[in-house]
Amino acid sequence: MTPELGHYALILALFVAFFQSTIPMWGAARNNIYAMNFAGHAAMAQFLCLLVAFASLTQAFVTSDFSVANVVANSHSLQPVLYKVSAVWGNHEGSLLLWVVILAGFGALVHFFGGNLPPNLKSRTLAVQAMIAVGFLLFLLLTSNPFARLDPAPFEGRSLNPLLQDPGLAFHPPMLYIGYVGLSIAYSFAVAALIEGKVDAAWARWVRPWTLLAWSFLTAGIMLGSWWAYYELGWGGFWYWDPVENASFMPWLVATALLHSAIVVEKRDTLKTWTILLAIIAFSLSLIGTFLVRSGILTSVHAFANDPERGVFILLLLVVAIGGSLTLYAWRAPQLKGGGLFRPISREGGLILNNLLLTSACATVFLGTLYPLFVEVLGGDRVSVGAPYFNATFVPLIIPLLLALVVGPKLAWKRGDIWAAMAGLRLAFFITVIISLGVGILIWQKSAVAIIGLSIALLMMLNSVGDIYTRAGFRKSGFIKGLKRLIRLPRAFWGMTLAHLGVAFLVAGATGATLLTYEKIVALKPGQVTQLSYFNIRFDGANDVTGPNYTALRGHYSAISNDGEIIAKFTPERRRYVGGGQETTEAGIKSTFWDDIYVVIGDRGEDGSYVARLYHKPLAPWLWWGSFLMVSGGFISLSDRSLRVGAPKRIGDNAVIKNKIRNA
Amino acid sequence: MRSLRLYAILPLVLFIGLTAYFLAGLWGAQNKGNRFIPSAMVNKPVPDFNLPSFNQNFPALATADLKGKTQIVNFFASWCVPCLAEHPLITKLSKRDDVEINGIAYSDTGKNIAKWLNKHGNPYDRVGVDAGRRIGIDWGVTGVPETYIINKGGVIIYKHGGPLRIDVINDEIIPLLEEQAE
Repeated sequence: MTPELGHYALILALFVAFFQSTIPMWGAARNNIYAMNFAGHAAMAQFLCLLVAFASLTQAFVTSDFSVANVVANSHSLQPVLYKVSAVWGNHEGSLLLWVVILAGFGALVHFFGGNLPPNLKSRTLAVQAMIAVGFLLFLLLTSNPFARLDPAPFEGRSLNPLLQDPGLAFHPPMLYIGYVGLSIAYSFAVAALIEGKVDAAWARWVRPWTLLAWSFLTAGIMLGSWWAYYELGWGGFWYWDPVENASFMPWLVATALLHSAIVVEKRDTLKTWTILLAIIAFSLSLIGTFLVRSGILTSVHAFANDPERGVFILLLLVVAIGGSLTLYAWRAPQLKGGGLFRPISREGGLILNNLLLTSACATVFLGTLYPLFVEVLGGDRVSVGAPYFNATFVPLIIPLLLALVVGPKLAWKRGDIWAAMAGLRLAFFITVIISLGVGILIWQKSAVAIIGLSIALLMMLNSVGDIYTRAGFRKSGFIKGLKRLIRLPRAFWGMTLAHLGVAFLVAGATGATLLTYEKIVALKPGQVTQLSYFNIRFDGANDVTGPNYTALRGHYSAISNDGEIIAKFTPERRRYVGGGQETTEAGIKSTFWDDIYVVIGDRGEDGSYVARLYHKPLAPWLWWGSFLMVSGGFISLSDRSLRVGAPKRIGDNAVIKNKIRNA
Repeated sequence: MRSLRLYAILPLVLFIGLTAYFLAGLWGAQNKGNRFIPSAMVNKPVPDFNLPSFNQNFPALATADLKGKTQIVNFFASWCVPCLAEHPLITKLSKRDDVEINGIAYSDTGKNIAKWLNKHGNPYDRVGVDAGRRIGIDWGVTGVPETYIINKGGVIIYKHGGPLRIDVINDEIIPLLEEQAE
């Protein structure tokens, strides 16, 4: 009964979305306030319907209702409850349902927080949002019904793909979807603005927090996925340039560019058409990513079954959504008026450089991802583009971007002084050179290129610390007063600084985890010791263990320092899941602040030895610290903006006024 | 103003070009049919195993049986709904005399299998019951049903994951069987 209720709610949502996409559009054109107000109510209703649908599917999974085909294919009665729930979105149909739930959720949020939006813009934005919903709901209902029943119902399900049975991956898709789908708001705002023919500073101020929210979740989602790949796939890598990874990375790059260009629109009322284009492209890339992952057009190791027929439907969606918005752009963008002028060396100039580099980086990733498709279509062989291509093209674009990140925020708006900005960096630069020389001697033999990465990361860190120091004015006003000022600095400043600091940690972590890694593959008998960089690793034996829905071979390893002291113990596993018999690896990882030691157990040899893959990865934990800083930077910045976005009504609020006076 | 208009059209033009590639790619994907990564077991000899039957009167299944003649090995289970869907097709295949059909009942009990085969008919020449799922793991089975073809030399030459369809049988399996018969 509940699955039918869910199915019914889904159909209802489709109808609500249809009216939400048409009536307010008509109302905005005719200036009919009742028709425009309909948008908000419809957005809430649509969200409620989809929540009901999602809840009923979740109920079917949690109670292991094997009369629902989707539950049979992706769940198992022995599965822990967490994975019964995460199995809801661990498959094509359910993840698509989650997608539309989040889409509608964002619509409802716009209605909820958008009280101060001009009614025309708000209703058009919600209408565009609903058009996307109509497309995806049709897709869901016509090709991928998550509530399809089975008769007779089997006794047992086929279990969720065990690779997905992992706490990191349980929350990876929802985060990622919030990111992807959050970009739809920026898209809807852009399309609505094109219809209105008006883009101004106010528009940018409304778009920025949504972009920031989407960006923060997208960052968190990508980080979770990367973290999962790191400890679950057992190859010691954190990024594989796999098409599916790239599909999430491309929107991230463009969203990052959008985040920065929207600042220019907000502060200087210029760069409008470019920002609109970025907003359209960011969401378009999310859609293209969805298409690539689910259509089977590119081969990738992924949990979703590839189905070319579904691909045709998504392609149709792409053509309507992307083609439609770009046509509108081609028609309307030239009529948007440009704003303030500025010199090339200025804050605007720096942000444009940031945008150019980010979009170029995105273009190289795009080409690398789709190159196999291009070659195949033109009649060539099946090829794959691997890490060497991306390292050779992506990295050279990122290095100037990182340098721009250091200098850019020091430049003034309109007309900046590059030499003055550089002068502020003298001390940081000096310290960087000295430390890099010292570190350089240590790691020269391992990898000379790594020195560049580490130096840039160090310069960025010192620069961030220097910025905080200067803004606090410790030198002028003393330590205590400086500390007080520090706390009262605008959260937007803190957000930016933390996010940029996060990038620095990320760069250092990536350098360490790739260029400075020690790797060893050995067959060890129990009791044998092997050397790995400056540790000794001892194999203490292996035994079989039983988990809730798997059996595993568990190895026991110890890391021993040169003095014979045990530093760490590892218990890597190879699991075999009873549902489908698939195998997964669980790496044994010991993290300190500075490095990771990483142990994976492999096959048993004839002589009773076990193959082990051992890695020592300096700075690898900084990858996650850096990502965490970036995400928190995003949220801190968002908390600042929320004060100002809800502005007009709250101006009377005493606390806000006090804050303003203080900050002034 | 004119150059601005040109720039504004550029993204659309690029997207149209991209769509053409996507269409061609999809078309290719559809024509090539199954683009799953091929099973690691194809072109490898049959793994060693020896499974009991569901009752003493029916032939059991072991590696040694899968030689001398082209063989089909079909992983199935009484609890598996798609297996029931492909059952008539397996029955049809069993009428051919250039191939022997072997069933491995995956994660199932002899009692259930006996009941199931009794009810729906038994197209198999031999049946092994892999109650512990151990043998399925050696074969690289990721779900039921799955169907393998083994040549006269005991080497796996083909794998189909998921229920058989009439088009798979006509376009892939029968040509393969005829090729083997020559």
